[in-house]
Amino acid sequence: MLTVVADPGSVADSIAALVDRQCADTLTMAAALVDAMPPGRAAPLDALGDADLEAGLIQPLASLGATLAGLVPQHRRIVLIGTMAGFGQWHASLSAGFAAGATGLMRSVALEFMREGVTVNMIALGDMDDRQAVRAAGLAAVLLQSDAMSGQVLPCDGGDNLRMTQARNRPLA
Amino acid sequence: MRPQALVTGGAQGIGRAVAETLAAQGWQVVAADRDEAALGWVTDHADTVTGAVIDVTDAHDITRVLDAMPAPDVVVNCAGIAAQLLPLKQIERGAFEQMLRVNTGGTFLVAREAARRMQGGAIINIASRGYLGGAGAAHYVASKAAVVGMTRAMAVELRWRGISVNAVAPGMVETRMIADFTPGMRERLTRLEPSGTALQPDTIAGAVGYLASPAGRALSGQVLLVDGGKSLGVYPC
Ligand SMILES: NC(=O)c1ccc[n+]([C@@H]2O[C@H](COP(=O)([O-])OP(=O)(O)OC[C@H]3O[C@@H](n4cnc5c(N)ncnc54)[C@H](O)[C@@H]3O)[C@@H](O)[C@H]2O)c1
Repeated sequence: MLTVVADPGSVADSIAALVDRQCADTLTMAAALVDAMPPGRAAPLDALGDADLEAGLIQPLASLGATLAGLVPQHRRIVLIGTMAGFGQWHASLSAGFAAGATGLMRSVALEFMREGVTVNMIALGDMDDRQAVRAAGLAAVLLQSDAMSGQVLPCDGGDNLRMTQARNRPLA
Repeated sequence: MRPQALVTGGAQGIGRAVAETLAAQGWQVVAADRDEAALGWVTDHADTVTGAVIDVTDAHDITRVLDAMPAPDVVVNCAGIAAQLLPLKQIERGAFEQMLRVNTGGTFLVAREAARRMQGGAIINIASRGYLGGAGAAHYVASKAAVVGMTRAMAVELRWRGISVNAVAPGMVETRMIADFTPGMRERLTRLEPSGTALQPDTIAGAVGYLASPAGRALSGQVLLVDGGKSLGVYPC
């Protein structure tokens, strides 16, 4: 049984649909796929206002905390769909803050609920295209059926980050 | 004119040690904090340090303090709050938001307002080793991990303007922050330290002093883990 916490039509939702097709029947325990994409807008530091701080970081990160608190420990396999922004991105101070904050949160939840057999991981998307969604769904399907790792961030960008140019990439919409 | 530094959270603990260290290294320092009484220490250093009352969650307050000083060359975001260890499910929404508003939002607002005025220099954000994850303080961890993410993005953006942005992630440091923990929590955390004791604020200030120096500004977007090796999983003695 896969619980999806994502807005209809969002990137995470489309990945969830692919995951559902791949492994819904083979999941042996309650699992969840959670949207952890930064909701903030891309803008230079100087143009990000106090309202951006609230809507792009404080509220969504606190909400993600509440979401995860509601899922554990019943859901024993949790995968967050996030982005590479936490590693640094152009015109994305708040998105990077959200993405890295989500990582810290995810690792803390993984640690706290480890003894109860819960694993929590994050897939960090790079630039998005149709191929990326398929790749991410494949990775998510593995993570949702395995206890091999927990608290990890898996870049899912076809190795793009090796070029060390990701900081210049346009933030994901 | 001595180069100018703004240190938030400068009333005590790590912030005070940073302000004293920078002053000794030739900086003119504004130590800004919301705790006016605790800022009294600056009177003994009147030539090199002045105090300013600030709430880092209030952009107007930040603007007022920055407008009253020459453009800073170095900004150290040290103001912060912590919490008692608490299971995830017991962290209230309001407490989660407050943690983010002070630790992450405060760092964001001060950096943004300072960057508007800076002509090169360095922004140094005090995160925490906890940013790597820790059971029982999910909101504190999230707030500090977010500081690290912001540090990297700001570094990407501001390097073209000659501003380096780095973070220092301290392990456990002997300050009021940990004095406020329950004895049980303090003992538990101290036992996990590789050296069996907490670090001193001066040790953290030394790392900040390096990042503020010309050599230190060659670093950008980095996190200096000043934690006695705890993050390597070093076995405590
Ligand atoms: N002490 C530790 O073990 C430790 C470890 C890792 C990171 N840190 C971080 O180091 C920084 C300094 O902590 P410390 O240990 O010196 O604690 P401290 O409590 O001694 O000092 C923190 C200072 O920040 C000020 N402050 C809090 N909220 C503020 C606000 N809204 N506006 C302005 N000032 C505000 C307080 O008045 C205080 O003077 C914090 O960001 C903390 O999270 C501390």
